[in-house]
Amino acid sequence: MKKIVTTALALTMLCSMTACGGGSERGDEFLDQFTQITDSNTPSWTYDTEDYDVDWFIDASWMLWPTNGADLVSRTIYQKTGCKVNIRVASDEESTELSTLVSSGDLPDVITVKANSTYTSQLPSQGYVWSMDQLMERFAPSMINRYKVEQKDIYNWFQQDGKLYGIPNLCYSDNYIGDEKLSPNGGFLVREDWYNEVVTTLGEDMTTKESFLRGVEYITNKYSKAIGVQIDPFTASGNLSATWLAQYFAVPYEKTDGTYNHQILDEKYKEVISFLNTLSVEGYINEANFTTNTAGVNTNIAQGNVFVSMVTPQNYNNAFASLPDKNINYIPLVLRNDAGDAPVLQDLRGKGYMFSFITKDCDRPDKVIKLFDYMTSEEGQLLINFGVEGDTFEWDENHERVQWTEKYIQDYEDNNLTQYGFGYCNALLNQSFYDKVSPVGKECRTDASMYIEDLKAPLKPYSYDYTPSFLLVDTQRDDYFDYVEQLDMVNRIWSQKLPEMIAASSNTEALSIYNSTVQSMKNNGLDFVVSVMAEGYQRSKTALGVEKGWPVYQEDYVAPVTGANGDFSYYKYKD
Amino acid sequence: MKEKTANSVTQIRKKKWTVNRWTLLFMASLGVVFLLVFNYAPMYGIILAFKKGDYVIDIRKAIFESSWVGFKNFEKFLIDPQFKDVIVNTLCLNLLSLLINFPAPIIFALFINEVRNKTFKKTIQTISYFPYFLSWIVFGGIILNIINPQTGILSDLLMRLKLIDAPLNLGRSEYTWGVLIVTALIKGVGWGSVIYVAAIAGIDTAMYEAADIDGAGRWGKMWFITLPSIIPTITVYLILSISNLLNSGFEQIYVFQNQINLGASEVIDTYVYKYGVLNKRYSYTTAIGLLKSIISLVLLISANFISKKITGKGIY
Repeated sequence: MKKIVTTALALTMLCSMTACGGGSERGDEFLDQFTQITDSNTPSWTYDTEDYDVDWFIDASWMLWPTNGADLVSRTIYQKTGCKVNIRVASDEESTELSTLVSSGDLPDVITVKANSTYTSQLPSQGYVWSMDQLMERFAPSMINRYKVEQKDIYNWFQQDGKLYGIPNLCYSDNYIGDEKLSPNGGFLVREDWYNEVVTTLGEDMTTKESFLRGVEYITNKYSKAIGVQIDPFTASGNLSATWLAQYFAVPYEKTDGTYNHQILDEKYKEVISFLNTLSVEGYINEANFTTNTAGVNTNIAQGNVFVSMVTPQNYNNAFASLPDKNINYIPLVLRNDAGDAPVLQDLRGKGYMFSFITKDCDRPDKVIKLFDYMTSEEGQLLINFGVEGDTFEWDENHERVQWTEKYIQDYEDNNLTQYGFGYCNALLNQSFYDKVSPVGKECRTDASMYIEDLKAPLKPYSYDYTPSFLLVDTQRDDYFDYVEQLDMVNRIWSQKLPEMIAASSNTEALSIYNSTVQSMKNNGLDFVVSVMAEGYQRSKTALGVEKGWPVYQEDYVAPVTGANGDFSYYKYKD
Repeated sequence: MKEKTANSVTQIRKKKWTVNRWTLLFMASLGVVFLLVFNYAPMYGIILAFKKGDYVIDIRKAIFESSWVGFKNFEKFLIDPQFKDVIVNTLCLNLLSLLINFPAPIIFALFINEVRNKTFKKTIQTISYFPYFLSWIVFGGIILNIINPQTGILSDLLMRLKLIDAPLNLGRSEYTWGVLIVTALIKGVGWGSVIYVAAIAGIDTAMYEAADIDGAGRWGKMWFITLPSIIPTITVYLILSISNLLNSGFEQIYVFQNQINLGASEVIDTYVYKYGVLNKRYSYTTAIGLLKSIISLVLLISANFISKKITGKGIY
């Protein structure tokens, strides 16, 4: 009897385990069955318009495409490529669904994952996805030029093992940006009417720390409802306001000899901690700010009671755009450190927000790479953003920017836009191309969207390319996951102690917590983490072909000179 | 003739029993299969605790192909800088809960039993049950709004009553345990009392009548009849609660957790979820889970042993 029970148990275990799937074993021979294309001058998607349903999973719950299948964008994609794109989005933000998909071994044709997820390195290294090079060379040669010549910077940046595995979205290529100044990522804003009152009454422009404190004190004393300074919520990643303040105070991420400098270990970073602590001690940072979440910050901003906003403006666009009083406006502020250095702000360009991979479970990788070719082509990018030439948009005289057609403008005014489906298909969005060709002018734009677009524009003189600081850590290192583990550990320690530093009763106590926190991080592998980061920093500079990564150390750097609120000539819409 | 009839009755019964037995065995086998598939078979995954399966995205490969690392995953947890906080919070919160939230439903049930006005009794019971049916997300959201130092009613009220000078931020770590215990009490006391109310309802009324004759008052009856009569129920629940000492209410804690109170609110369950499950550290997570299960098993056996020694009653 015992034997029977033991055998049954063992069999059950075996059955359960084999029920869990594994990655596909498909190799090169699988690709041999599909017709190869050698002509790189003809768009690959024109070779094959046979019907195929593409199962596409996106690991971001908000990337819904509600009109998919019925709108102009999806209909045109189908018409051009024969692909019916069936988008599925995650039901949560924690990748649990994706984990289940991967573990079950039944992957969809395409997976889009967040750029900061370890999946971006795990999927290629553990053999779940095809390399784009392999697929492009066999089935979509018209795509090769795009990534190996035109957007070579992107190819160089993202290659692993000498191959490109995923296509990033929201990734800025030099091919489209040129020398144009972009808005900064973070930006401090002040309520204009109150700020003018401070300037007029106190004669303070709030660009130095002392002047800033006097201005905030004046407003919070005068207006009982005023929230002196609003900072971002504290999260497991730290606090974004502290990140932006470090940029305002020009804390470098590079040493003068060109090697990596971990910002929070820099002596200058203490100034960031001390200043935030002073704001807390003085009561300018509301007590609720330490325990609030994004919704709470949103409410505060939307009520119009925030005097100085140190939050990440684009995360609260709706709140800034829906202020209760039309006369309440926010304008930027150029706050400086004790040394009077000009802020060195990170501009909006990013190296990818999400990555799309073609999985080895895809039955027609030859077909899907052609879909990718179409969607990343200028024609495809124009389609997902502006529709069809002659129908919804036309090029301007110089063929530089698109203009909406009368038909589209009329539909916009009639609020009849669901038929188009623009702005949903973003998994392969090339933001820099969009920025380069998008229409100028106020047509088809709401007042709120123009206000938001202009919000940080006067800070453009202070914004710089921070790409070198997006460390290119070698994911093929033997100890890569030791690094990931220890990075998580030191980040955890930092993010837990940061609110304590800021909420401390004095600067002395704040710095004491800072020192003990750094020591604790060192005891838990900070030195190893920094050494890997330093190597990643050199790799990123090599990929970018730059000698100095910190803008101030670059030969052509000249400290910008503007007024206390930046340069208003950068406003695109505001008079 | 009689003998023949008896034989045939026995045969019919035997046949019926045989049919019934197979039906019963078949029904029982479904339960056994369920246990085998969902409880015993996954136990094979325990070996992950001793393997280098972190960050391997295919769980099958993690189990079968990753290398053995002995007790390294356990060591990692023991030397983690948050280990002390996590263990202290888990144990203290559960001990506090055992001290306050375990007896509270018993006391509530005893008092409810003494209420003579049926309408009032039902009203109180309904009101006390209600929070149980709200999810922690909803209930916690309501509480967080009430205690919000900026917009919540609590700080405003206390300031108007001149009990505090500045808004009180109950989200800070010094208040965390209190908030967790009190909110769990509000949410669970009514529903938790149901089992005891049912046990009280089953007490033989003759004992109360005898006590009346003996001149016992309400307190006397409660103390000498009601409470001793429900001791077996209390014992079973107490033993199960002790074995549950390392299981904290994940949802509740997750709702009330913020970056500034982590030192007081991080418990094993939230720690495992955030740094194990979400980071795909399957081996690390399994090791912590296994450690927790072993300690819980020891607690359960100990509690049962002590209970048997003291009261003569246990759960097995």
